[in-house]
Parts: sequence; C-alpha cells; structure tokens
Amino acid sequence: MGKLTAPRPLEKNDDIGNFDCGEAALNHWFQHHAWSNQSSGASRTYVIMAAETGHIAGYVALATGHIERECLTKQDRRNKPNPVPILLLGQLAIDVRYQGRGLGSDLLQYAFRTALAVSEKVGITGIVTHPINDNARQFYQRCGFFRRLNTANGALFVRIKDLQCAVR
Amino acid sequence: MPTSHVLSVRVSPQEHTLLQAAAAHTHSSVSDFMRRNTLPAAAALIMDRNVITLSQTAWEDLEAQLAEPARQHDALASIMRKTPAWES
Repeated sequence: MGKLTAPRPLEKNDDIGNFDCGEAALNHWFQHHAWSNQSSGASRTYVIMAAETGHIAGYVALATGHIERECLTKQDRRNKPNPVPILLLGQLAIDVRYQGRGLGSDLLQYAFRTALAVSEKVGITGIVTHPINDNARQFYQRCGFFRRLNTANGALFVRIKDLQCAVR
Repeated sequence: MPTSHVLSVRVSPQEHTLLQAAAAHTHSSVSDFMRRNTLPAAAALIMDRNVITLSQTAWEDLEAQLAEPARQHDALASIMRKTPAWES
C-alpha cells in the first residue's frame, strides 16, 4: 500500500464513483448522499486517499444529533428532560482494495478525536452509531462501542468520559 | 432464525408493470430489483438518524448508563494509541 493522505473534507470533484467497500448501502450513501449532505451542512464526510493515485481508500461521516425522551401526554411534555447532545457516526467504510490493513480503526480513531474536540468546544455526551448489519455491529463492538441504546435497531454508543479516560 | 422472509407489497397494476419492466431491463427478478433498490435507501435512513427518541424505560436506562463513572476500556485505549496509516 502506498502513502495515504490524512482525512480531509470531501470535495466536489473527488472520485466517489469508483469507491467500492463491498457493502451496497455504504456505497449508495457515499455516491448519492455524501456530497449533498456536505453542501447543505447536514453532515461532514472525511476521506482518506492514496497519495499517488487519488483513489479514495475510505471515508467517515459525522453529524450532530441528540437523544430525547418520548412524550406521551401534555403533562409529560412539560416535564420533559433536556435532550442529550451527541455526535452521530453515520457511516464509515473502507474500499475493498484497502481492507485488512486496520484503516477502519484508524478512521474510527479520527472520529473519536473529533468527538473529543467537539465535546470541549460545544459539549456532547457521546458518539452514537446505528450498525446496519452484524458485521458492522461486531466491528464497532470490538472497537469500544460497548454500550447499547434500548432502541429497535440497537444503536451503539461510547461515552465522552470513557474516551477522555482512554487518552489520559 | 429463518434465513429469509417473504414480504408482500401491494402495488397498482401500473406500478407492477413498471417494476417488471425495470427488473427485465437490469436482467434481474422483480424481487432482486426491489431488494437492490430499497435496502440501500432503508439503510441510509437508519444510518442518518441523528434524533433518537427513547421510551421512558430506555431513557431511564440511558440516564443510568451516563451516570456511571468513567471507565478504562482496553479496546478504546488501544485504538487511541495507534499511529494511523497516514502518519506512518
């Protein structure tokens, strides 16, 4: 594997059409949603590339978000607790030509460092992801997403205070 | 767990014709065509869900988890210690 570039924001002319991570949903998202989200500010996608060829080796997409409690009645709405601010790790994928080299955990480290920086500047409680299949779930659990939200799809999260502990 | 489920989708005759034509055009069955085109859209919707609404029970569970003291996790520490490929 040649030299890779450090993560940088997705640009309009990046070659997203040739990216293939082997997972249709993540290819589809990258090719159909990443740039529109980047332009509108709905999320931020960071890419790593082969320095020589400009091939995109991987990407990670991040957005702000929050967790809230449902309200069943008017009375309930008045007593609603404040939402919990989070960083959403929406997507993370490595092109098949670059898999098996630990780049997924490298990009995850980048996402964790970003979460720590955001938490210092504006305050978030954790980083959340929604794994779309068992492989993704196992990857995230192996990499420190030990906690689970009690939702239908079993979203996973890491608390900022545990991340702070990990870098001390 | 069963390895597959049958999903019945009600469509109009016109929509059925359209789906059959599109499937034939891509040399696939209607079933494969539907899977290939709807699953990525479903996944995109789930992955991008940045407002998460919890039931009362799930909220209490989250509050309890957030209140626990910070913990050292080997997996997290090991990820954060790594030198990323772009720095090596």
